[in-house]
Amino acid sequence: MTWPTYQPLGDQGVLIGYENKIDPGTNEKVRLLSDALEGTGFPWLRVINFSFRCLLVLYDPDMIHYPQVVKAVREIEAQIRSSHTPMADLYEIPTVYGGQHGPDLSRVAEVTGLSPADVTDTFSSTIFTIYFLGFLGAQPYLGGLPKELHVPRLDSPRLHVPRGSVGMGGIQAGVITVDQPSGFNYIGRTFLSLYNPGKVPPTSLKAGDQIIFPSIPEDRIPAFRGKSPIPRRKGSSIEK
Amino acid sequence: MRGFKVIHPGMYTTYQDLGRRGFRKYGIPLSGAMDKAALKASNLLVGNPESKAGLEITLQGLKMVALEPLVIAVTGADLQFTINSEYHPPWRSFLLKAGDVVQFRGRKSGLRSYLAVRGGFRAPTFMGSCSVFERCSMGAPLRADNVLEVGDTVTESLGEVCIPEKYIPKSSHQISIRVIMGPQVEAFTPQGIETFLQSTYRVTPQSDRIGYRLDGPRIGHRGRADIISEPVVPGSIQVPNDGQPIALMVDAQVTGGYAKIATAISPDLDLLAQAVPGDTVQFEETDQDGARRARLEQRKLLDWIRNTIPPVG
Repeated sequence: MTWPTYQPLGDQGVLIGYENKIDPGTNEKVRLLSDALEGTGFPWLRVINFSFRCLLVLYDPDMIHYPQVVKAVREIEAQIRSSHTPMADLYEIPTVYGGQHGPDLSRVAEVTGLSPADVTDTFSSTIFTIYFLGFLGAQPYLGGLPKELHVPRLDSPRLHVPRGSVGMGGIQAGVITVDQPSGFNYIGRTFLSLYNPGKVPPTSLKAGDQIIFPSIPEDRIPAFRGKSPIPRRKGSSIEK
Repeated sequence: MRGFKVIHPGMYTTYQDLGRRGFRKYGIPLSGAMDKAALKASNLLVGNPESKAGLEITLQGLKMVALEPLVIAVTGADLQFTINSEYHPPWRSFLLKAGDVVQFRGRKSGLRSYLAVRGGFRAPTFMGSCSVFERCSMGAPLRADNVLEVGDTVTESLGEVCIPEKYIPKSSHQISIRVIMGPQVEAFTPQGIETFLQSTYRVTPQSDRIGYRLDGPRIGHRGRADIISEPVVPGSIQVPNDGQPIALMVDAQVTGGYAKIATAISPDLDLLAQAVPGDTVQFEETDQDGARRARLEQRKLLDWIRNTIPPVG
């Protein structure tokens, strides 16, 4: 099969799909295509959004027909060169691990054979990359979870997980931005604000950014509550 | 100026416009009116641009008093709309005096009714749209004693207009939804695809602005129903492992991890938005040309109003 594939998504969408896997290289292709399309200013282009390996283009069907959209996107796609990407922005998201804020820490320790302290140390020293923002409320989908922390999702999802919860399921890691049901294993919680509906855009994070979840003690929560993710590196400059 | 005071907010009444487009990349759904043609028609009937925020009234119960003379229109479902207790079918505009009491007493047909006011509602805006979407903390349904602000008074008069019967969408308990197959049609067995296109599915009570869960003959997968999460749209018909289709609607999450057998075309989503639990749905395969014809057919309604009513200002 030649990638990417093009398929209609109803009467005003095209779904463009790259290799069927979750990895940084595939995701980078999707991101580069998204950036290139955003730069075109095509008048018929209504919406672009993407995930691990797919990009959705919504178009105005009164201005253009499906085959012409595919042709236009193919031409843009063919010109993309996987150039040296500029160094990513890095953010810190201070997190309280274990206890009431990380109800699955002991389960993750049990499944992985690590001690709870080792799970926390490994997770909090990992640099994750945001593959995309999706689901609801600017929720980051993260790549980079170390193999020793790959733990299956819960057999039965929890009906209510509070926003800010940090955890993992399978090969994925994540932090949730709005309260929701979830089958992830939650080992900690951040009290930063990751989604603000009154702001445009509603988050300071974007696809391609890197984040780390350093461990803080519970009594430090008030110092971080409601604050934005803390920039540690912008482009190539290091901030102290 | 002040437009209405809410006496009773009804089951679920929200401000809705045509939704927010530019924020899907931040995980923000499109939202907006479930029955977009009905919202557009209500706005056009009072001389507003079609995209203004109106009230989406679900099922029953909204009761309000007009605080000033107002021009309004009611479209979509027939929820037994009354002015001072006198019943009026939808799809027309009305002139209200200060003190007139409007009410939606309960459904006769359809599920969602739209009320637009000349000048438009002045509703809180989130990311460029007034559409209420509670899951992402954008607005809330109406509550008793809310005072609804409307745009400035327009002095020129506008008569009451009725849309001719032939342009009004027909309400039915058996609806047919045209779909474009894919994008994961290969995830289903040939019998599964045939089942999907030949069977009748019933709308379950687990149906709302996020999605319509349907119940009927099981649609068989070749393997598992799970895929790597990818963008979904209103109209996406995803089929989890239990083989029962879910039609995603305007408030659905922007990405999802179930195989999708087909996508409903945009004009037919307006029909599905009026379906209630117990109604039946059949899926009919179409193509881009079929979808274009359906959109043109739907546009006749809006064109008739545009040609009849002068826009504000």
